[in-house]
Amino acid sequence: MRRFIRFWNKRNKYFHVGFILLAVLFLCVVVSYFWLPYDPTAMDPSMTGRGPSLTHIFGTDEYGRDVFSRVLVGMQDSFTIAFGVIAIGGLIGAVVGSLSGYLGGWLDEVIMRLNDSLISIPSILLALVMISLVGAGKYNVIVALGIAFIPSFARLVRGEVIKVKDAEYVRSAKLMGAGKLRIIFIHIFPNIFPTWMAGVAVGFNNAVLAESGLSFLGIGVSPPDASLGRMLAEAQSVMFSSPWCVIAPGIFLILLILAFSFVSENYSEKGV
Amino acid sequence: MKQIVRRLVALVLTLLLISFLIFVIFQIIPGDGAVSRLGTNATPEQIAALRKELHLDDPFFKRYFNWLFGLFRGDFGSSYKYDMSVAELIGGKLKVTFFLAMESFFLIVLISLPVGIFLGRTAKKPIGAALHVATQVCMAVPSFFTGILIILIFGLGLKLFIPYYFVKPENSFFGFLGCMIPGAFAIAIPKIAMVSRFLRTNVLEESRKDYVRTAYSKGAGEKHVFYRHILKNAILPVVTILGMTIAEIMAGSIVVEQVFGLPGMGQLLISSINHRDFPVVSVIILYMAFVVIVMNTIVDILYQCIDPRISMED
Repeated sequence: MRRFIRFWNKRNKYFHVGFILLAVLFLCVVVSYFWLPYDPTAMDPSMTGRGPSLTHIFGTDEYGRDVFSRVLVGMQDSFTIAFGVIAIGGLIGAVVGSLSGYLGGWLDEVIMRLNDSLISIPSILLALVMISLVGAGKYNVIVALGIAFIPSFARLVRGEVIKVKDAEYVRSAKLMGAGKLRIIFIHIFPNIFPTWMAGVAVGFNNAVLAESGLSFLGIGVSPPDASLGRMLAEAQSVMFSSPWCVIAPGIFLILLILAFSFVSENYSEKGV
Repeated sequence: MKQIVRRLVALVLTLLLISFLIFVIFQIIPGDGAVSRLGTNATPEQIAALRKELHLDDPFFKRYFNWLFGLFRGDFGSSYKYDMSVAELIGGKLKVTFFLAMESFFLIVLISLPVGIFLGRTAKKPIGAALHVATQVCMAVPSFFTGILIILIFGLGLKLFIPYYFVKPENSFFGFLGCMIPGAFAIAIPKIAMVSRFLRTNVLEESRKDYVRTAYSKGAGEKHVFYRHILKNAILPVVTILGMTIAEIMAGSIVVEQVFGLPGMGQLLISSINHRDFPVVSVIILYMAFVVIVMNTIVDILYQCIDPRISMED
């Protein structure tokens, strides 16, 4: 706890706002696994297309389903997909980047050439390529976006590894006879961990954005899964008669992205 | 000069690499194009005949080079889904996406530079700080939700435009440009926020430097120092960021065309993906990747030309 307070005090106000927002949203998601105001799939023909009221705080959609419950369930998917994407992209990217940066030579040259050409293409386009092959669906989206996120993490980690690779502690580890892999993962990686975490915060932000974009296009998660992006796409047809159906998921999507971007702002202001 | 040649060689290699990857992904991995076109009821003779017609039995590299040279000749293959060549299918859509992208790029340049300058000048005042937070909120809004909000507020609420109304460029070119403006704004708003924030950071960084103090101590006025000294240096790196936004405009147009019902390449891409129409998908993706990579190279070279501090020799 004391460590957390020290950590907290070292951060700026953007981080505080973002962190609290994120904690609240995360709490909502955790609670939604155990309790929801209504069954998100239960249709109520007597309550179709009602506006926000005390019983349904974000109203009901055209089938009489409670929008708030659906938003909560949608957030579960948005969270888990973003988490999976970062787990794949961040970890593989870190391994590729540190190997490439530490070993150098032609391997580094080849990997970085490939990386540069992939990084210049928007990640949503890369993900589209993969999804058009394997088809839509929650797990395909995670893998496709995860792979699309590898290049940026690889570049970030490689830059940091090159910075510290001639540091004293790396050299003394080498003198003591540590192997290359041991040096990279035991000695170097803990030191570049803060930078990697900053990348993760930015990555979460981008992952939520990219996933919602894909799902909005109808090639992301497929029914019965419904992420926030997919809800928006489905609700677009009724946006004139019941605008709350698009505004509620939209606002939660913005809050989610905003929370991550505020958290990462703390790092970017320090120039990391 | 040497630097430019090296960039151009790298550009050609990158383009070849991308085209090769796309060829492998879309022509080899999906399996037999003849079967997917004729359906499962086709007789083996029909399939064999079509395989021959499509040159599917040729060796791998022969197929790749045939495909690649075909692209140069303007032969993009034909769609599986529609009985049309890909070139015909894309032809009219290209215009929509191109002008949509151009409009949003102009909006970004026109709006983000003044906003960025204003943010930089008022960074210490409450209005500047409030706008700074506002730009962060703008960046967090996905472009499709911006689009939906624009339709709801400006289309339905204020009745400034008719949602989902599209004018063909053959009928009225200005009407065509006009009906895409809301979409262009939806793409541009997050990028405007990004570029103006970047300019603000640059302005703040530059104004801390020694030459600014020198200029002040020589008795130059605040306006003179800002526009003649600080801004000149702060605005240069913005060129790179503007170049980078081109990639994101491309990505944004795929989504925004869907929101506003604009019949552009993005819409064609999505429907082709849904129909597993790989020749169309591969050409559109290749095209978008080419545009992004070529534009990035141009921006890089341009940046070296306008910034005398970056030596062209090393």
